[in-house]
Amino acid sequence: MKKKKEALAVVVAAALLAALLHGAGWLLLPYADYNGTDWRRYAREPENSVDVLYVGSSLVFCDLDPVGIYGRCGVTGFNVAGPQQSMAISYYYIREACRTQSPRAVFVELGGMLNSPEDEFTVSDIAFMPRGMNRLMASLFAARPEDLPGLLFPALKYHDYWTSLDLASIREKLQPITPDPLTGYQPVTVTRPFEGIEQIDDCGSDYARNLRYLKKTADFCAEKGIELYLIYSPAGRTASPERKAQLRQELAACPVTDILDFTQDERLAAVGLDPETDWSDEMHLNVSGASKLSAWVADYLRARGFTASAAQDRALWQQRLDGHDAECGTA
Amino acid sequence: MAFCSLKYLLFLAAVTAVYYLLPLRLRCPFLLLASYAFYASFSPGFCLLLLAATAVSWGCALASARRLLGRDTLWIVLGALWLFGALFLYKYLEFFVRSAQTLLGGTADFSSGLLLPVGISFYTFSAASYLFDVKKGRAEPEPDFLRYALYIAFFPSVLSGPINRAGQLLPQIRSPRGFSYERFKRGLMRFAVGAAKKLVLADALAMFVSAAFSDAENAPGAVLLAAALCNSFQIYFDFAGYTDMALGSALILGFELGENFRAPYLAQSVKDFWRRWHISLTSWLRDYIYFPLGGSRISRARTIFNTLVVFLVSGLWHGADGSFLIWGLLNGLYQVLEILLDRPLRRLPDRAPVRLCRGLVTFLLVSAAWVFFTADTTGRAVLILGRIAACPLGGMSMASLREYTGIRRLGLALLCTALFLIAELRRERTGVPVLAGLEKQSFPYWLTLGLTAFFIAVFGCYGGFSAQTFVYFKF
Repeated sequence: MKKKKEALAVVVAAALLAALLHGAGWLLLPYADYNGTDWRRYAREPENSVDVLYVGSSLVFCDLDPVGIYGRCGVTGFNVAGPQQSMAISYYYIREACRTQSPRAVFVELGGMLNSPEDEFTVSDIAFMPRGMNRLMASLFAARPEDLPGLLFPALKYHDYWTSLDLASIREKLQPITPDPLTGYQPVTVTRPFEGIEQIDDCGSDYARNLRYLKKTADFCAEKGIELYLIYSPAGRTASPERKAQLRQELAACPVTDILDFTQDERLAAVGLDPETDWSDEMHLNVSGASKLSAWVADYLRARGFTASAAQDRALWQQRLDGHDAECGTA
Repeated sequence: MAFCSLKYLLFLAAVTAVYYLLPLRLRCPFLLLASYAFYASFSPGFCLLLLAATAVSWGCALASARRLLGRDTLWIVLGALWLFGALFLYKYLEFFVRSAQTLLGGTADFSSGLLLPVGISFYTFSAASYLFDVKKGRAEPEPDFLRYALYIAFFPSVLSGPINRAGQLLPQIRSPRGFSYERFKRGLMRFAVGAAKKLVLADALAMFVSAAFSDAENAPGAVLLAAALCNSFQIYFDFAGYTDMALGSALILGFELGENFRAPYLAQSVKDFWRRWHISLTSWLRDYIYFPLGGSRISRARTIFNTLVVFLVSGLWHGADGSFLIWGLLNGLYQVLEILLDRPLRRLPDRAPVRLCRGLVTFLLVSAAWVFFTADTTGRAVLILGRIAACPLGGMSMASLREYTGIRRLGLALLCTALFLIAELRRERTGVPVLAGLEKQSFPYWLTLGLTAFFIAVFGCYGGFSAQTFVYFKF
């Protein structure tokens, strides 16, 4: 009897601790300080209404404007991206995104091949995911083991935010979540002349794992009937031609539809990017550059036969189109 | 593998599980192995030094007890020479040579090139006390080397104490106790309370103290005064937190180590303070230096001399640095003053307001000395105290405080400090600790533990799951 009571007390206390930590995590998670995908807003997308997913790091959420793409070709899309995202996280993001959506295509930015669990934003990229199997798997396999407690209970990672927690931020958390007007795009209005592209021969510290997860991504997409496109975004640093050739070779047996390299001169010219006006820093496009790149992607999608799907919420997307320029700060 | 790390929690859990699953005869060797593994996680190279100190002190004590070569004192002297020689070499050589260089008008640039082995001051004193106790017949010489090695290297206390005495720990090692669920629970709670003292209180106060002290040239007097007072609590909660975690870890494994603190800031005099602060060191200095010098049963002048010697040694024990010497000397001088004012102080009535005043004066005196303990240099400590003395309440405002610390964090730390002091006051009056007997209950115990863990998780100062280094770690 005594043993049973003791065991029950341990279980109750552990459950209470877990519940309190869970609640504190909800309260303390600093959405305002995180640039990546707001999964709460992603969940507000009507089921199976997203045609294309754009996946990767800040090179995706700064460079690609899904609403702009929709305006040009009628294909809906969403950026599911997080800063310094590795290919392992991209893989679990795609799996998570496909729980509520059935995209026809996924674009994966390859800058993630250079990222690793050691990167600064790995924990936040995972901690802001919805709870579930994909987040658990990402916590176990895409992050450092020492980060696991903070990923299981974000209150451990973000506990310092209690010093700045105020009523307004609590009230904001209690507000109903609305759909994202820019579907994951983060426009940057700053302009800085672009100094050109540096080619690096470094594979990154975690190449084998990134390659493994890229192959898993390809297999997952094939299994779901999704076309997989890989892109090198027009950033100031990119893999050398030798490294790119090596990757192509390693992916030869994988079901990849196309690899688009926006670091090549001819493609940059085709997109029409201007080094004087279209970058915000040495890595990211500004709103003008993103608009040009998105237009090119829209035309590319159209050329590949993508058209508006029947499941689209046209009213919602029209609303997004109407408010697009104001949201981007270009109205 | 600091106590406040996930690695240590996993290590402790694993060691505890294996320890209790093993048959009794294998427990001591296993715990010794675990202790060396723990020590090696800090400085693998220094394991040999620890082993040498253990072997020499064990051999010398045994040789002395058996009067090898017809001598007994010689062996104790040899053992002590080895122990204190190593301590001198690693901790003090550089300091003394540099001091000599300065005195001779040269540049103090001597470098021994030796790193300070972790915990050397603590285990040296433990081993020395064993040697002296064997010589005096206060402890039985331990014939089993493994048991003695565990007494020296026992992982909860090897790094920062408490400084063990053979009479207390060796008998527990000789006859290890079986698993006691209540003792296990008591240890767990002690560990959690220690972690709270360290992470929620000490480290929060440290942020403020460090920011204010490092800007002593510009910080207002009131801010420095607040920082100096917070500094006293920071050192206390840091070391008491460490000790609680050490005692908690030992309890989980079935060992009772000596208490190191007894509500020091409720002391009525500096002498009283030193009976309550770092008890294992103070009692060591008392038993092996103060008493052999004659203690207080001699002339007043000799008593004063003995007191100053003990506190100079105490200062030196803490660090080979002028600041620690001044800190020790100041505490010695306070006590000399108390010896000189003994009669008028005795005549004071034993009433609450008087007790409060005495407690407050003691706290302020001790706090002033702590500034030397914490400040980077003696010059900075003098600057801080000078600015406080010049204008103790100058620039007192929330805005000026906010420049040096987060008000919420400091507020929470001060609130908890007040609660701890109230708990200590209650214990002082009733003799019963606040959480006494809680381990006998089921739900209240586990819920308290769960809430304490939650409190630490949210309000503790840590990032990347590692906290600041313990203050006493460097000794």
